[in-house]
Amino acid sequence: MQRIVLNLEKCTGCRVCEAICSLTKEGEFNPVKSRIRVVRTVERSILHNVPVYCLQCEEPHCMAVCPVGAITTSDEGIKTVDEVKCIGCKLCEIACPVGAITVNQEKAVAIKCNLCAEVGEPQCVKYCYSGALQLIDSEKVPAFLARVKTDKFLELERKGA
Amino acid sequence: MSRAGSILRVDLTEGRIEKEPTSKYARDYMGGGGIAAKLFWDSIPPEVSGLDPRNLLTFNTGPLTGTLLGTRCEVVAKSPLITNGPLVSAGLGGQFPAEMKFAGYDHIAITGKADGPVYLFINNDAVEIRDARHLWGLDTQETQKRIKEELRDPDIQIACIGPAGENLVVFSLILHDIQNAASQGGLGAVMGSKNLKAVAIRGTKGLKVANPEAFMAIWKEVWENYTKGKAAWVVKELNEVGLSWHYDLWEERNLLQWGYGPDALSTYPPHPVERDSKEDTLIGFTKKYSVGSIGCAFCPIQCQQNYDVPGIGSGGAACWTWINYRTNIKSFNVNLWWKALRKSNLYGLHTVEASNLIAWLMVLYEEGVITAEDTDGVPMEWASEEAVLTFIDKVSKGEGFGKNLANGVVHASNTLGKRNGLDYAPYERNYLLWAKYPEPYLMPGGLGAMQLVKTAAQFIWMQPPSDRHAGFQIAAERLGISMEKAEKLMEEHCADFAEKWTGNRRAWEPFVVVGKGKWFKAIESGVAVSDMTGHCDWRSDRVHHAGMKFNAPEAAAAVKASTGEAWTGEMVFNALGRKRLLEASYNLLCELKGEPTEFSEAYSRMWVEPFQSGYFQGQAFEYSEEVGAEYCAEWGCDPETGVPTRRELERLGMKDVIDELESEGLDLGSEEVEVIP
Repeated sequence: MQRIVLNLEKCTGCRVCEAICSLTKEGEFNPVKSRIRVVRTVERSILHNVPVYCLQCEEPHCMAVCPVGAITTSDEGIKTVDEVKCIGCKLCEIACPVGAITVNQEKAVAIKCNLCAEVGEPQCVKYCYSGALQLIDSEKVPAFLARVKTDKFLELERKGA
Repeated sequence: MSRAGSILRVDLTEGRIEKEPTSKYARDYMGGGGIAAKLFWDSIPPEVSGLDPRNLLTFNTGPLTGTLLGTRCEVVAKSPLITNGPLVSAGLGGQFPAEMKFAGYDHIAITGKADGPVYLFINNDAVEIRDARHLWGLDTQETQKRIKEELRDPDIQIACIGPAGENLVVFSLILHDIQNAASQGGLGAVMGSKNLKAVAIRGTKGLKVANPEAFMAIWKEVWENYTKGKAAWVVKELNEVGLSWHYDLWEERNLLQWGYGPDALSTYPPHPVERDSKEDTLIGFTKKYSVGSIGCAFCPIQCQQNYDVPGIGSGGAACWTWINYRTNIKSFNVNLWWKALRKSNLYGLHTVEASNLIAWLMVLYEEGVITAEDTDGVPMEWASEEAVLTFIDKVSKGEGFGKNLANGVVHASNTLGKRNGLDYAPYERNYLLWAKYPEPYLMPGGLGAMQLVKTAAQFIWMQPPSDRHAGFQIAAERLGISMEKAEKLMEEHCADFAEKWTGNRRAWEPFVVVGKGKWFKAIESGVAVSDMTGHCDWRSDRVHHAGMKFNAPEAAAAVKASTGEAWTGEMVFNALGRKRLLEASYNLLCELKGEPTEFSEAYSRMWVEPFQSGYFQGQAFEYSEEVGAEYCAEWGCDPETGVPTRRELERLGMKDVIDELESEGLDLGSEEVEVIP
């Protein structure tokens, strides 16, 4: 199984991921319907970005609260919404700890990231210019993240900070 | 489809809000600045001045804005800065243009004047004119923060003015987010004259794509070019450090003026430029203080920089803001530059015009034309921090001598009682030029394109862009090749572009005349097509050394895929022709009904006399009649007068324009070519 891993330091907040996701999934450009969203905050003229997307929880709250059992786990561990079963009740929206599942108001069904299972590879990762989003084998994620943090530490040390 | 569908019309005097379909203009004028020109032609009398409530303030996206291939809008109005109020167009990026589209609007056109300070809040279909008395006087950052707070939505996108726009400074700008600005031509004052503090937008509708597969295929090609293709090194450079190193190289290669005015280059410091310290380079500043790249929605390049400087403050830099308040005021002091730029962004002041006015005052002070008494006791000495910051404060707030400068160079000269001050000012119709600057001032997306064709032709010199003279060093570094190889690579890009559009591989070279008019038209087309579609002109092929590929044929393919409308490259060129000729015709009427204008003596001298020193020492921008004539003819205008011809206007189906121009007594030439027996 693979996971999308974020290296926040690298994200420039360009939102290409939002555009490519909604184009791939919905055939339109619409951040509201994107499965990944870049939360932008400007404080003191400094921009902060945090891309938010489904982390494929081991014990998903969305799945636990779904009254119709519309959310299931695939063989690869990807949590997927069955759009026929889904009644658009929004319980999953409330339950999700990171805000990564929302309800498409037009279709009245929950939408979330499924790692672009139908296309073969997550398009947000494919078109992430800065490399902030990466697709990593689940078992290698801890080592990957440890390296990201260590690199940052070394960089700061080199700068003499 | 990727058109939002509506034009939002707001009359602030009447409090009236109306919507009309975009479709009736789309076929002939495509979008963006094209449709903007038509909105003015149809409803705003040429004699309306920039600050007249009847002036129209328009935000114009294109059919690609809000997609992966477009993120910009053009803000167009009659200029309060330029004499007789021709149309000015300033590109605005960031998140605002896409949000306009998602709310359902291709264009926003605002006329009239509110009784007191207001702001416009557009929330999808709901449009509201709201009280802004509590926001009046606030700077551009605080204004946006307060609006987001009071509307309880941090995702609202806002374009606003600061104190400079409120005080009708004719070189004030409209600012969005941290540093995205519609800067040239005084658009902030237009907004201020309407008592309009801000336009706030939230949109959640999205844009359907007619042919997602076709669009995706185009995007893949663009992506390949940006990441592995010819444009890859430039994209990487812009993404990582913006134009900071690029402009360092301009300075180091003597490509910029030192001081201001027609003789500025004669005092240029010896090559290489000596700086106080390594930290005085822009790249040094960027490496030290950048907290990240920023830019426009859905563009991977993010070509701007976000800085946080301890003791001074945070903010953003983009484009020309990197080179103002520097060599033209004889300073390499990055702290001074950053303080001045930050203040300008907060007040909403255009850094190009402001820093040129400061530099002009410094020339007058040095020449003894003015004394410290004329500037409230502050000596306008070169590189003086006190002089620069006092000017910015006083002009923006409308205090003391600042009031005299708020209307631009001509008015300032009159009110200072120093008429001969104009002898030192290279101005044209009240706006100052970037002194002697070795790049054609033909900035087709902005002031240049809005010129009469004849005037634009005068802006054409036989000079390749200075980008080439500095850019190859970046190419060498990025590609890991020698400087010689990199320079050759750059020349090949220029030659390929020249061959493609002019048929002459050598048309790009400094003193080659054949094909030069066509060369300029091609570069202008890449930019103007970007302005019409909502694509960014930095991603167009005008930056010919960069390997970008966007011009009319690429625009046609992308707009066809996204809107489902049947566009071809030829149709795009025709729409562009209509835009260009309509702007030229409209501005011609503004001139005819306005006061007589001419180039200043200093301005003319600047272009005729050879460079005294620097990279181009001994060379002069000799204006070639031949080039000007070829350029005018390319646009379907009279090669001598630059007036649009009847034949071209008829070909483009612009009968009403013919009638209007002829009723003003203009000779548009005969329909048929006379056969001489």
